[in-house]
Amino acid sequence: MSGTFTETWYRLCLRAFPPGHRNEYGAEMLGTLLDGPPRRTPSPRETAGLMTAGFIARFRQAAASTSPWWADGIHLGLLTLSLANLSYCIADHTSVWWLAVSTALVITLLRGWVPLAVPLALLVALSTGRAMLFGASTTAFLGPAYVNWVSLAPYGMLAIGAVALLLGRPKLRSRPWWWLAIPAAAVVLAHAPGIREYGETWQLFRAGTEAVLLLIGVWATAAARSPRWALAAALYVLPGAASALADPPPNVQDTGYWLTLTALLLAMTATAWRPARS
Amino acid sequence: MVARMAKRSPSMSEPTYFVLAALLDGPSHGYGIIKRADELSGGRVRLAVGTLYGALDRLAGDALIAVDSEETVQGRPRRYYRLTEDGRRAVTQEAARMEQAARVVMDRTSPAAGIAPA
Repeated sequence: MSGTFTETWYRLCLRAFPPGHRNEYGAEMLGTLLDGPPRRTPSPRETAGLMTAGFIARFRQAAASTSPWWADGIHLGLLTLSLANLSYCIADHTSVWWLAVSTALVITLLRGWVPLAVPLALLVALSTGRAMLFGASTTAFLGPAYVNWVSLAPYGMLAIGAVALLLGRPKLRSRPWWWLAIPAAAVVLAHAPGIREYGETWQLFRAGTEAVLLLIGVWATAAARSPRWALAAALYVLPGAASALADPPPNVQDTGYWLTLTALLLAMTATAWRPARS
Repeated sequence: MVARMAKRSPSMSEPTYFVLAALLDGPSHGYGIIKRADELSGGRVRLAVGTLYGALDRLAGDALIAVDSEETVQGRPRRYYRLTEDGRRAVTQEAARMEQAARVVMDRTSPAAGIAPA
């Protein structure tokens, strides 16, 4: 390895920073990193420092964005609910029509196209609630229909949140495409040979993804002291936690799962209201 | 609500304190600040470059530091940062706060105070 590799490595690490920060400080940071005694290999300490500082800069930039915190929080919460809905559509091998509606909902939320997302969110909420609302038959063509109100809570949250965004007319930012890695992983898990439907691998993937995203939310909240991530987490976690309260989980593992998600949500909420150090 | 949270900011982090302290002697560039903070803290505060520039960005945003001058070294920009009046005041106030906090303990534990440490 050589000094050129070290420089290339640090350039790559600088991509953890938001573009604005990179434009302002990137070249200067690279100069500072290469000041001092020459190194043949990159410093692990500097690498960790760049990654950490880069993500913190991104969190702070998100908190300083033109979107109001409540709108940004609702937007992110609705996106995670729509991603969960799409992942379960994929795992359930639902009809192409239902899959198309669920995918379109994810894409419109991802791009922040609220006027297009509202009819789709209402359609999803009405379709999943048709048995409870209209006593309609549960044909597979229309996707799943739930027969209790608690199971419908996430879909109601989707519809109410989308309408709130439409009425509030906030300026929303586009979310990165890498969120689509979640439904992409669901496709792999649903079609990979040897993986049982909703078996341990699926449960582990779901719990792991949720825990990692909530931990990132706690970190982001600690760095930027904004309640937006706690609001998003509440929209995602509370409907499920309410379901667990109404219909207590059958085993300690499931109880622990819901308690962990709720604890992470509470940690995020408490962190948002703690004063920051400069 | 959010504005109220920001106003309750209690104290300065140690890296921020030593970045400001490193600039008390005059303008300095990134690597110079890292070396000076390391010396002033007796080796306790070893700033990573990412941490330093995160702090410099925040401090510049709060108008506690400003760019003093800029030069090009080996094709790369090198900026020299200086303390602003607000920055000098902030680090001085923080030093006074820590001195007062230290006195609370030292006055009670020094031999002159007549209280021997347990």
